[in-house]
Parts: sequence; C-alpha cells; structure tokens
Amino acid sequence: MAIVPKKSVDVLVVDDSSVWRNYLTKLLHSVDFQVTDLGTVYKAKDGTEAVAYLETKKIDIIMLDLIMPKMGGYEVLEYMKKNQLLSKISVIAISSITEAKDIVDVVKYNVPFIHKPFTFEIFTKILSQKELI
Amino acid sequence: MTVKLILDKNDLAAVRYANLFNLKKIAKDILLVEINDLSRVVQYMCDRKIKFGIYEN
Repeated sequence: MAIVPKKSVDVLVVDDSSVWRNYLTKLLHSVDFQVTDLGTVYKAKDGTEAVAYLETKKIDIIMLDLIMPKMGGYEVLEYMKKNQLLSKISVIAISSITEAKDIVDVVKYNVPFIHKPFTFEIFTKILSQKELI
Repeated sequence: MTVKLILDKNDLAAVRYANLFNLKKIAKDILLVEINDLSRVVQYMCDRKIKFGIYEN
C-alpha cells in the first residue's frame, strides 16, 4: 500500500512584537504535528508585510495579531475577504485585546481566536480543531 | 450561531463558568456559547485574566 505523504503547511506569523513573533514560531516548532507537517514559518511585523507575503508566497495558515501599526489584523481580514484566493487561507487571530466587542467582531469573521497570554494546551487545542495536528 | 470556548485543561473552574453563564459543557475544557452571550462571557474572562480561546462550532 502506498504511503500518502502528509500535507506540509506553511505558516505566516504576523505580530508587531518581535518577542511574540519569535515565541509563536518557537511554539509551532515545539508542537507535535501528526496530521500535517510544519513547512516554512514566515514572519511579518504588520499587516502591510503580511499582505506582501500573502501575495507572493504559498501560505496555508496565518497567526494574526489584531492591533498593529500601519495595517492591523482587522484590515488584513477585510483585505483577504475581498480576494477569492486569499479568503480560503486559514486564519487564527491571536491578541491581548480586552474589549469583548472587539473579540466578538473577530469571531464574526469565522476565525478562531486565542487570547494572549495563553497556555500551550489552548494553543494546541485550537490547532487540533483546525485539523492541523 | 454558537462557538466553542476553549479553556485551559488545568483550569478547574470550567464547571463554575458553565454554571455561572448557563452554558453547555461539551468537554472538560470546552464550553458552548451562543454568539449573543459571547460578549458578557468573554468580558468576564478578560476581566479576571482567565486564559481562553474561541473556535467556531
């Protein structure tokens, strides 16, 4: 019986904090991917950089901070929604926002949300709900 | 529309949150929340620095 190779997923981590970009990248590399394989992890420091990656690279999933300078996460979501190809990319919103209204707004985009700070269990649980691990 | 509220599995207060907001508990660490209730549930979590994630049901 032929062995079907696991799908490799390329991830774009978008956060204006270099600490969080590096931490999320480190977390991704520490997760035990079983359903898929972790491919390349790209990093962007704001929405404009994220959009540039989305237009030029094959991105399977975005870990998206919401409050960033220049172009925030909500604007990235709006940009993606208007593009037929980009609207198919999976997004996980990750933010420390504390206004319930802002969090409900994200959920209305049908994207999972992780509130900062979070635990490894919550992070992996969301990835498993996405059937990535 | 309902969403799943994902709590840390070590947060033993999940049962209390479920009772407090009259939510359905579908796993030890997953509560089901109506979108209309989400705002007050999430505000409670944020105000008390409770760690959580949300996933569309």
